[in-house]
Amino acid sequence: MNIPVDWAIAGPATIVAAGAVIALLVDAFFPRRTWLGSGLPSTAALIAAGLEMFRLDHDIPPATFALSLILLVGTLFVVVASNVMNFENSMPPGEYHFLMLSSAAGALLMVSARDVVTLLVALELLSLPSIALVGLRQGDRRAIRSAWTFFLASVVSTAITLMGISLLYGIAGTLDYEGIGEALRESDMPDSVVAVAILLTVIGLLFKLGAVPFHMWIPDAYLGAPILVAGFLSSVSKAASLGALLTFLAIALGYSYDTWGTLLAVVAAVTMTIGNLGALRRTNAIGMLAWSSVAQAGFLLAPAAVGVGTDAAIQYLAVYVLTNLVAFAALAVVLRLRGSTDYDELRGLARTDPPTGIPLALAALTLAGFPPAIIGLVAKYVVIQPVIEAGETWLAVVMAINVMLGLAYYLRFVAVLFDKPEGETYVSPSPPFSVRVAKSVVILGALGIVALSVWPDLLLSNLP
Amino acid sequence: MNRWAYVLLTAALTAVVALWAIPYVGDSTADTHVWVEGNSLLGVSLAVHIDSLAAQVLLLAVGIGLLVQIYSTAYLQHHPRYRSYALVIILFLLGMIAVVVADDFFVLLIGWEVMGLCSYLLIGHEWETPEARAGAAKAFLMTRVADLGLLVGIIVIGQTYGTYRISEVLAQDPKNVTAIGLLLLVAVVGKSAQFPLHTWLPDAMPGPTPITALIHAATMVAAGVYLVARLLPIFEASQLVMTALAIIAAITMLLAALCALAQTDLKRALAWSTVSQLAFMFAALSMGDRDAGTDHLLSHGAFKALLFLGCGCLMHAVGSSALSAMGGLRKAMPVTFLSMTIGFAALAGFIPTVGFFTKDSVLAALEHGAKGDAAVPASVGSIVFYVALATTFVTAVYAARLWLTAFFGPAKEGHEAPRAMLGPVVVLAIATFALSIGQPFHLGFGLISTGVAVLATAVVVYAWSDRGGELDIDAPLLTREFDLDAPFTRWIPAATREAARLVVVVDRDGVDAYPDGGAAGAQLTSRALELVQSRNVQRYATVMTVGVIALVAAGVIWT
Repeated sequence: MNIPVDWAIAGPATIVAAGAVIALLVDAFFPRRTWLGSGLPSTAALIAAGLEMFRLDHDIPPATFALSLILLVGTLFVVVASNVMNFENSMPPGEYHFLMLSSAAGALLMVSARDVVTLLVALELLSLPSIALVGLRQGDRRAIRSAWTFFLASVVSTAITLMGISLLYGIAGTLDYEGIGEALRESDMPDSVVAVAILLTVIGLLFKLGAVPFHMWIPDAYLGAPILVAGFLSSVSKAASLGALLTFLAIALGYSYDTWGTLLAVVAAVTMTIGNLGALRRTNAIGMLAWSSVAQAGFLLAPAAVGVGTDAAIQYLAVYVLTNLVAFAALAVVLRLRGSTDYDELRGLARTDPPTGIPLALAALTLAGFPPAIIGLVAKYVVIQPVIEAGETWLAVVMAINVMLGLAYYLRFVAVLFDKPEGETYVSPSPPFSVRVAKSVVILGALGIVALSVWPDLLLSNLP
Repeated sequence: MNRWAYVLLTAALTAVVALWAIPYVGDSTADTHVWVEGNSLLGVSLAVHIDSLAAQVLLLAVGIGLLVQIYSTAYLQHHPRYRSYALVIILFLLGMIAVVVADDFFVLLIGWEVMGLCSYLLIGHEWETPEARAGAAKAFLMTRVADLGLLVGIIVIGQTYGTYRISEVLAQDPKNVTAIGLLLLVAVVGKSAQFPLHTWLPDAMPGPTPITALIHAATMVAAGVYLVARLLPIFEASQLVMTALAIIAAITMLLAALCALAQTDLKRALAWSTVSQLAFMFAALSMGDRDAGTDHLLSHGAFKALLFLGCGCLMHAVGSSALSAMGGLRKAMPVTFLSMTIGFAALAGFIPTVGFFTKDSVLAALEHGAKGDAAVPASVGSIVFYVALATTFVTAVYAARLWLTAFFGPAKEGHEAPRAMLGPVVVLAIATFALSIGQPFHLGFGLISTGVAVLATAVVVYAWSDRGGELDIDAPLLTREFDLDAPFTRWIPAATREAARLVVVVDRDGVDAYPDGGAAGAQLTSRALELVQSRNVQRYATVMTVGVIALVAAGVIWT
């Protein structure tokens, strides 16, 4: 049997998957299990995948290209910053990188998928290693519990997606996105059956995205997971789910907009509201970011829900992924040096440790969409504008209210960072190399935010 | 010694302006030069326009500016903030120059606002005293509020004529003139301290005396008169605007002259006199007689600067501007006495000072108006004319009163001011004569106004000798200045305070309730979410299942 392979779609994912295997092998054959030993091949694989993508530039649809680029850069960021965990004996580096890259390969495939089986396989390739990553820290009961919650949510979501897909197959007789789209347009099935099929499939993807009411696993998983894994879940994994959802909605379900449009808009509105309300009372930075990422998922969904905002969602996503990773990486450094990410521990960080504290504050301001982080503001504008243009004023109003709600806790967080530090100021001892690497990644990311703030056009005209 | 550096700087500015402006004086040519053409992005063009009028006002401004700068080197000799003082004077002059030569309304507006700022800084120069702070703030706020009229007027002009270039606007047929004229009038009334926005000028007296001279003679208040003269074709096209201007001028001139009559403070009396004399200029302009108005502007600039600088010399000698502290200084300060006598004579309108000629020109212009030869109705014209005659009388009365109280009576100890102060005073005294050369002479009005002035002076001198050297006027209404300041010092603040109180109440009990309630609601929901987030997987599964069922059900019902 000859299976045609479109390397424009599969190429980067294959390279990343190969990188995963190499990382595991290096780790297996070198007795000293170092982070660099498996980290370097992983980094190389990610860069190679990026180069391959640029080589195939013309064969890849622009939206997919943009999404893949976001995923690759995000994963690269996580992999390099992960060096900060090298002191943890309970974290096996080979497995860590293997799982991370497998997951990334799944993410890449997921946004390139153009038929539902590929989508489902990619979804599993993304999810299963992520679950393992959450529970990877040996002997940590909390991590295992989080992984368990995550696992259950994931299984349920896959099951629901599968139900939806099987119904869709029954209606359309094909698994191809475009075929499904054609079939739905000409379908003579009862509307309710079509609606159930579409909604179940979409709900499965909403699970992964962490939209309300399927968000409950998110805070638990983020708080239990190693911090950069939480960063990975909140950025790369979320980007992949959103990318797949956007592609699926645009190609396969474009004609049945009436079925899912309003419901998705309601879900987006509820998601951002519940996420922001949940974040309001957090006094732990990770917990705050976990809930805030739920809220941000709502903002990401909003332009998609009005049916025209694919580009807007991707642009917002790019800013969100970069910012979130800067925040998580900075918190990883803090956690390593101070052992906690509670607000009490972070008080005055921007004064005592500017290289970590100021990027963190900048990231919070960007997420809030508050100057001087202009790009955050631009991103908020980018997602609200199509909503207004589509005439969904109520959704725009909900978004505006949520921007204000977000300010309440993001600015509080910034205030904590710039507060006068209590007690003796903590002076970090000469930090090891790995911490320096993580810090430079944080600063690099912050510089990226600054660059985008100075010149938002860089993002707006190039992606996608 | 470096105080003279600022004098040099001002002198350089004066020289440049003089070289540029002098060829235009008395010449009928007008030149417009465009430095930067306004484009679609930025509608402002840097263009200058100069004609005989502009040249004269420029020379007046920089000339008095230079004299004030020289005077200040002695008057403010030991002031710790001399540098900022001297530099702000130069900025003030630059603002005035911008207003005078600008051929673009926005450049004019910038100069106009720069002057507002500089007057604030200079009136409040002695900011250690509460009066100076209050006076500066009052001047700034009142002129600033009035300036809105100019801003809106400029926008209306731009919309009406399609250009912001003054010469292009004036070249077109007048359009929309009533609205534009009234808006500009608001700005002019504020800047030139006319009724009802006149109260800031007397309250600006805590400023250093040279600054008072500068504001009253050369810059600030002159800008209002100049603006009306420059845009006279627009004003003239609307009878309503011209009538309003005439009535405002009539009210202001008599009211201010009466207020000047009752003052116990020389400087404040002179300030009221300025308000009154500015109203003379506006009265002439409202009859469409541009030359009469601007000639009086120049002549008043000279003799009022003379009077204020002379007043500064007196203050230097006795340490106060109160009339009660003066008297009998004729012997001790002969130069000041002679110079100020000339100044008071010009104010009262005695021949052959310049005040005599220009006042007669104004009266002649008003008489034309009374005959119905002007844009205003003849009835209004005649009212203004008779009010102006009455004002001439009152003016001569208060001039004589101030002159007598300050210099006559039992001799007092005193000393002449330093030469740096006397010099400018003498120069201005000479100018008060010199400017008379070439002024038009009106025989009939010359006789009438001389008669009025002589009569008034005679009355005052008689009263003075009759009451044994006592000239205090006991008129509570005049001393209170007709309570015209009440709206600004009492009613508006009281009303604003009450309104603010109301807003606070509404805000706290009405408006704040929603955000407060919203915040409380948000906190409560947040707490509820915490309870739901129980790490109990079964409960999560329940919520999710319910969510799935709800969404699917909604979708099915929807379609």
